This record gives sequence, structure tokens and C-alpha cells, in this order.
Amino acid sequence: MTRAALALLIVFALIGVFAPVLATDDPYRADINRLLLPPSMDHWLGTDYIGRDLWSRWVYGARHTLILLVGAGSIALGGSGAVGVLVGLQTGSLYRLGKGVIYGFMSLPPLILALLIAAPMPRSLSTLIFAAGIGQIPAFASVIAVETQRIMGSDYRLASEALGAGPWHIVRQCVLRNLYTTMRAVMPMALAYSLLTASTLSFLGLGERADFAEWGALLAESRFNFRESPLSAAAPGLGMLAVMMCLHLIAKRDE
Amino acid sequence: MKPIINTLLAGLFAAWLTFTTAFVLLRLVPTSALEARISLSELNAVEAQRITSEYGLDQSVSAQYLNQLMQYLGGDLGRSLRTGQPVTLLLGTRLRNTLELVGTVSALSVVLSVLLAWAAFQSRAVLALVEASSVISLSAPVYWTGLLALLVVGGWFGLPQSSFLLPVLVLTFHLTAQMSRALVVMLHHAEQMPFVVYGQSKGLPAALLWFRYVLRPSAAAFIALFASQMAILLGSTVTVEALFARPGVGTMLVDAVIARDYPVVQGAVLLLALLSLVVGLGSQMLSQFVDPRVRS
Repeated sequence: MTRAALALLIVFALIGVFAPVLATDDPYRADINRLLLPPSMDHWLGTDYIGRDLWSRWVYGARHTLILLVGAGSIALGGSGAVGVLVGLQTGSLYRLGKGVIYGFMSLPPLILALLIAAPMPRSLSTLIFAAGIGQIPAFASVIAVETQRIMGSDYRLASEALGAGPWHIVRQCVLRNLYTTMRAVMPMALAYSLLTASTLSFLGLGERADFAEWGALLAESRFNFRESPLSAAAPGLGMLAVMMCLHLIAKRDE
Repeated sequence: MKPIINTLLAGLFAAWLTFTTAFVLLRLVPTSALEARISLSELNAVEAQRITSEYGLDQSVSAQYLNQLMQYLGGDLGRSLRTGQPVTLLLGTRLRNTLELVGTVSALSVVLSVLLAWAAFQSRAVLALVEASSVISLSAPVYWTGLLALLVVGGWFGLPQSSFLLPVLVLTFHLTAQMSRALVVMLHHAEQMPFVVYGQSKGLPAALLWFRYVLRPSAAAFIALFASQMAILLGSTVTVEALFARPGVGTMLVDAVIARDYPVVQGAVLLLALLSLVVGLGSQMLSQFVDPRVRS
């Protein structure tokens, strides 16, 4: 199951990377002579209400999804790792304060934190990535902080300190190495939630441009004519569902 | 009492943190955006001066911060940059719609997930259904299940986009799927407790055993689960309100972000944070009430 999920993710990644080759048309080119065509040899998924080729838009959607996944996911993972370890290494009231701040931010749902961060920023792909990534940090940082604190309180750490290990050695050898299992569990979840938040922001209209070729934005557009062209809603939705499902299956492998 | 006071203090701290973050992000960084708006609009110097002082842009940062904090504490959330209406007024009319949606969904999901968990103990098919819908509801973006509901359910029954039923259906599916799966896991743990085995050996009827010996001790954990799902529900509500064009706090937040109407963004974000804090506090009080073990 996990292998199949990984394989499917790689297929999607390849589609994203080779989108310019796979696309049969410019994803943004509208043509009044081919409105709402059904699927055919020329237009594999048909065309939309202003005559853009849906297959090309879907393929570029995969590309942008890949960018959002990698970009926002790295920010979420890197950010929560850094904040989590930094807070977890503290002791006493400093640790309580750090944890209080993290829990305080957790009162904001990730999507709403992301909306707040995106509000003053320019409408661009990097805003989506940045806002969605930062939005995930509180939830995952709290997990990592608690785990780091647990490792710092373990006999294992005490023993290496007794053996004369310096603070750097303890952070590298005790903390970071023991965090591996936690990070392994956190990673697919962080990637999945970052992608979900980023594409929701794009769905809500915070993308680069109104006709942005990203699956969330494609779905937002399909709202107005999905009765005439159900594929315009089904294709990006199924793509998103498949990617998210793969990530969740990978996350579940350790259960 | 002590844990409740601690939660209350933590809640106040969280609210202050949200306020400060919003202030830094929305008032400090884009002051120039506001200034640009003032100079772009065809206002004379006197008018521009009036607006600048109304939004406190002529004061120092710390004075602006303190003024605004005082205003917020007094219940004044400022005025919309677009319409000039007080933010409290705008929020007040929409809060009811959001609470209606969130309340209905929560009530339905709690009942449904208990029933589903019970059914999952009786039949393997229901268990498989619970497992499958948990993966699907985690993976499918809310905006997509929403569209699907609009297309399929709305199409079949001829429901209009503004129907209250569709958003309830979508959010209830997502919340119930998550809660019933977690509840099944919790109950499997509870089932192995010695007092359950004791009840079984006494020959208690299955239903009594399940509700009083298995479900009842898991109540506090279930309430905590509900509270943790609340943040996700509030986020999904924003998406669903936008999708179904329901006039709620969520739609207002999204519209304000797009229009860069910062006072409204700040007010809506703070209101949603307060809502999730109130649910957290309420759930803690409730779990102390239903489970004496939490009290000590």
C-alpha cells in the first residue's frame, strides 16, 4: 500500500515536472471558437467555458500542486522543527513560556492563521507557499517540542552528559537522532496539511491571478459551469484527492 | 477549579497573542498601503488628514498599539476601510449565521459518531465504512466535497446553492468521519479495561455494557477530541461559507482579505480565535463535569 502510494506520488511529480512537454496547449489561452467542448482527440479533457484546454490546465495544475507541496511543506517542516527543538531544549519557565506561545497560536485554525499572514502580502505563488507553510507550524512544533523535552529528560541524555558530552554533541547525537521517528511520522502529515491549506487559499481566490492553473483555483472556476462540464470539477478534484490520499496512506504506515 | 483558571489564563494569553500578531501583520507592515489608499482616493488635504488621524497613523507605533488594545478591550473593533461601518456591527450580524452552522454540525456529528462507533462494534461492514470515510474525509479538500454535494445532492433534490442543508451535510461528513474513527480507537482501548471484563463476566446485557462501561469512561477523551476537531471545523467553515456564499464570519474574513480591509480581517480573526478558545474552555469544564477522574 505504502509503495503504491509512493509510486503514484512519483507519477504525479513527473507529470508536474514535465508539464510543459505534456501540455497540448497554453493553459491560459482562451479561444471563443471552442467553448465547453466534450473530450476529444484534440482536447483530451475537453475545454472550459472560455475555451481553454482542460488537459493542459490540469497538467499545469499538477505542476503548481507539486510546487505548493514542496514549498509549503518545507516551510512547515523546517519551521516547526526549528521552533519545536528550540523550545524543547529550554528548561523550567522558559520552556513553559515557549509552549504557551505555541499553544496560544494553536487557538487559530491553520487556515485562518494562513489567511491572516496572506492578508498584507502581495497575491503571488510565494505568498500561498509562505502563508500555508507558516500556518502549520504551531500544531507540528508543539509535537516536536514535547518530544524534544522528553528526550532531554531521558536517562540516555543524562548518561551521555555524564560521559562528558558537550551541548552540541547532545543536540546532534541525542536530540536530533532520536527525533527521527517523530519527524518520520510528522513529515507526510505536514506535507498533506500544507498542500491542503495552500490549495484552499488558492480556491478562495488568493492565488497569483484569477485564472491561475492550480487545482484549487480550477475547482473554484468550475463552480459556475460544472453542470455543463463535469470533468472541469472532477479532474482537479480527483487529482487532489489522489495526492492527499497517498500522503495519508504513507502517514498511516507506522500505525 | 485550578485547571479551569489555568485554561482561562492561557485563553486570555492566546487572545492577546492573536491580537498582537494581527496588529503587527496588519497595522504595522501595511501602514503604507493605507497611506497609498488615502492619497490615491481623490481626497483633499483636510479629508486625508482626518482619515490619517482617525486611524491613528500620525501617532507612534506604541501609542497606536496601546490605543487599539484599549479600544478592543472596550469592545470597539474599529471601522471597515471600505464601507466605514463599525466592524462589531458587521461581525454581529454574521456571527449568528456561523454559529448556527457550526452548532448544527457539531450536534449532528456528536450524535452520529457515537451511533456509528456503536454500529462499528456490531458489524465489520460499518467498521470498514468508518475506516474508509476517515481516509477520504482527511484527503478530500472541503471545497471539493462541497462542490460534489452541490452537484450530486443539490442536483438530485433540486436544492438551491443557498440551501442550509448542503453546508451542514458537507461539514458533518468531514467531522463525523474523523470523530467516529477516533472514537472507535478509543473504545477499543476502553474495552480492554478490567471493569469491562468484570461486567462481561457478570453477564450484563451488551447494550448496557457498551454504553455504561465502555462509552461512559471514554466521555472525557471524546470531549477533548471534539475540542481539538473544533479548530479544523472552524477552518472548514470558512471554506464552506465561501463556497456556498453564506454570509458568515468566514465569508467576511475572506472578502476582507481579498479587499485588504484590514480592520475587518483583524476583527474576524480575533472573533474566530475567541470562538475556538471558548469551545476549549467549555469542553474542559464539561469533561470535569462528566468525569470525576479529571477533577482530581
